[in-house]
Amino acid sequence: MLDIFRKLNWLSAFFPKEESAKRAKERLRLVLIQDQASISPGLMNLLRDEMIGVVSRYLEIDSAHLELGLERRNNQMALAASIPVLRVRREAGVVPEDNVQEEMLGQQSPTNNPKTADPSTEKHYRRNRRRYR
Amino acid sequence: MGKVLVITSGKGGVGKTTATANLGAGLAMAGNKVVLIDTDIGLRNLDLVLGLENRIVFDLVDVVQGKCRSYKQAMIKDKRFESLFLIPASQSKDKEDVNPEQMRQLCNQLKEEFDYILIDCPAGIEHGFKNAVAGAHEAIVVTTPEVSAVRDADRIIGLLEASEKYNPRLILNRVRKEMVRKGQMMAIEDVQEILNIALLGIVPEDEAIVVSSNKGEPAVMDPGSKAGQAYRQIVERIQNPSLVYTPDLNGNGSFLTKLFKFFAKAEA
Repeated sequence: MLDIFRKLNWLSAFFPKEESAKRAKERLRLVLIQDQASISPGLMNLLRDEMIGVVSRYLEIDSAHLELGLERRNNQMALAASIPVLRVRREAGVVPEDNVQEEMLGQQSPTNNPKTADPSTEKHYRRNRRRYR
Repeated sequence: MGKVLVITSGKGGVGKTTATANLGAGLAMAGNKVVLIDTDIGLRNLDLVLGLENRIVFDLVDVVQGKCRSYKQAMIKDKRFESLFLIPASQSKDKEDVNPEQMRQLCNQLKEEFDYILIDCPAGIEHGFKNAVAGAHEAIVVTTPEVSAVRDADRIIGLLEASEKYNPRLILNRVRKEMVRKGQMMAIEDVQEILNIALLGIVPEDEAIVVSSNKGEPAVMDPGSKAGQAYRQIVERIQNPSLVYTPDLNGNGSFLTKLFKFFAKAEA
């Protein structure tokens, strides 16, 4: 059986082999995005605590069941949060205005939104990501 | 004042020790006073690659723990080059027997006497890595064009930046031009694009490397070895950082590929 394959081996010259180098590069690119997005547990806890602080001003949440993590979505990293809401704070409209406005502005600014950011941001992100590890 | 360079990679088996031996011998050939430090405690090999394994009395742990009078007593002088020395790793002791502060002090002492101090880093990112990079000014990252090696190199580059060793330079080792040409191995520009650091040199896959470590003679001394030639060029660039390296990517390829490239250019 093997002999037959060996004899037919010369045929393979007519069928170009897959360029595995391209696959290597593509796979590496993706895995590195993931590697570089791993935040230390300490930093993640800090982010979590601050987020709870901000969200709690508007909503009463079940912070014990809050889930926060980085996920890969369409070749990009996304911060995904699942926050169980217990009650909307009616008094939310009267929290100190200065803080609220700043945070709202931050959210609306297009550069802070990874979905609308231009593709070149990814490299920028990669480069800076390293510094945070 | 000498320069302290750490040679690191993350992944094992990509050629750190071979690179350290060749760069050390190359720098000594060029007239520099060089000391090599093997920090791979428990798995020492630099002595073997250099052919100095029979001369070891004291080792790195003895030096930092003050068990010998000074580093001078532990240092082994090379057989071939007057100005090349080795401080071997211990084979029997623990990595924890050395700490980063001790390495910093040792490097500070050595740079008064030597032009170049090359530190051969162990594989991994743990204690041994931290010791190896502690006293270094600059880092050289060695990788091969394989996914696992490149991934680990990226991790190491991140960790180097975290320990304030910025601007590491890359040696791409064991490149097989023929495979690259067929699209079966990542090309130099692919790896460089992914890792995004300056390229110090490319070392082709070369059987002479196996032969040279069999004999304990660095390939850099062998005028006929392709890898040796690559290391001699890297040595030039280490001594003269203003030599920016841009590999000649068009020079390698068959007549047909050149022709295709020509037409591709004309069309663009």
